[in-house]
Amino acid sequence: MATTTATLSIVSADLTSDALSLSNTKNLNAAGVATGLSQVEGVARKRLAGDSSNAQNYVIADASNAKFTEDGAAKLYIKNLSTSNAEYLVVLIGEASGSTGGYNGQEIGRLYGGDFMFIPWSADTTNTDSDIMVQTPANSLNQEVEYLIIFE
Amino acid sequence: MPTTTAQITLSSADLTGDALQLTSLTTLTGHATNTGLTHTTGVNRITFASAQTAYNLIAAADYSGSAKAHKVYIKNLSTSNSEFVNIEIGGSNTTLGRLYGGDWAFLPYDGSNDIDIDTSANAMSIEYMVIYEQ
Repeated sequence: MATTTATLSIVSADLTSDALSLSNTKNLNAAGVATGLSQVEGVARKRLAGDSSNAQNYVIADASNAKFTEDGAAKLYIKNLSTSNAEYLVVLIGEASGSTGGYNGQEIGRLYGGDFMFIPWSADTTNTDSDIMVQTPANSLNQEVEYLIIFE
Repeated sequence: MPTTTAQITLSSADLTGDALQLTSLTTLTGHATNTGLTHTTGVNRITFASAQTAYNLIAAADYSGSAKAHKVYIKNLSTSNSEFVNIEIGGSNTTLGRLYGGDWAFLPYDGSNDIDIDTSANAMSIEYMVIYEQ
């Protein structure tokens, strides 16, 4: 089985009077075992056309895709490749509804230019699918996103 | 203003035939500005005597606005591969994913939804931090 390592470092000399230096490294294993995750999608880079008048949703991880194990230990990395602090992508969990940015679900947060995230993902399909989507705001055209899904 | 950086490295020599060596570094700034995030909860550690259901870890009411560039870090401190922390988003507790022992998450948070957790066993500990703007 594959060995994949994820390391996160968060550092600041001046966020508080006590310098912050947090570092974590973890091998990415399947649910409940010490066996490494073996499947991958990406690293992918996508251009999101967007819409001049409406928000648009783009599915990054589709919970109903049979290749994903529900309540497994999948991990998802997403990065907003913009270099502008003003350009953002709204990260959503749920199902798209309609064609103009509607959805049934919850807003997780916003990735501004250069921001990344790394989350566990359950690919839950109970009641509403827990797809992971990024949403471009209205009049946000041709933003680019990078993502990677590592799963069992 | 403070300068806080976050860096992630994902590496694998054998996940595919193409070795994975992904590194990303970002400076944590407020929404739509170059100004660094200014506030933090600090790194908090909580031990739960019993298994928890929908424990409110981060309350949206504590963070202003709904368009912010806050960041959240959560880690399951268990050393067991079978003990997990389930992260849930919003009032309907939509399941995001499970952090198994040693796993961590780093995610954007705009203050529009609560973040709750479930823990799968007694005596589990977690660590978390919010870095945020006013």
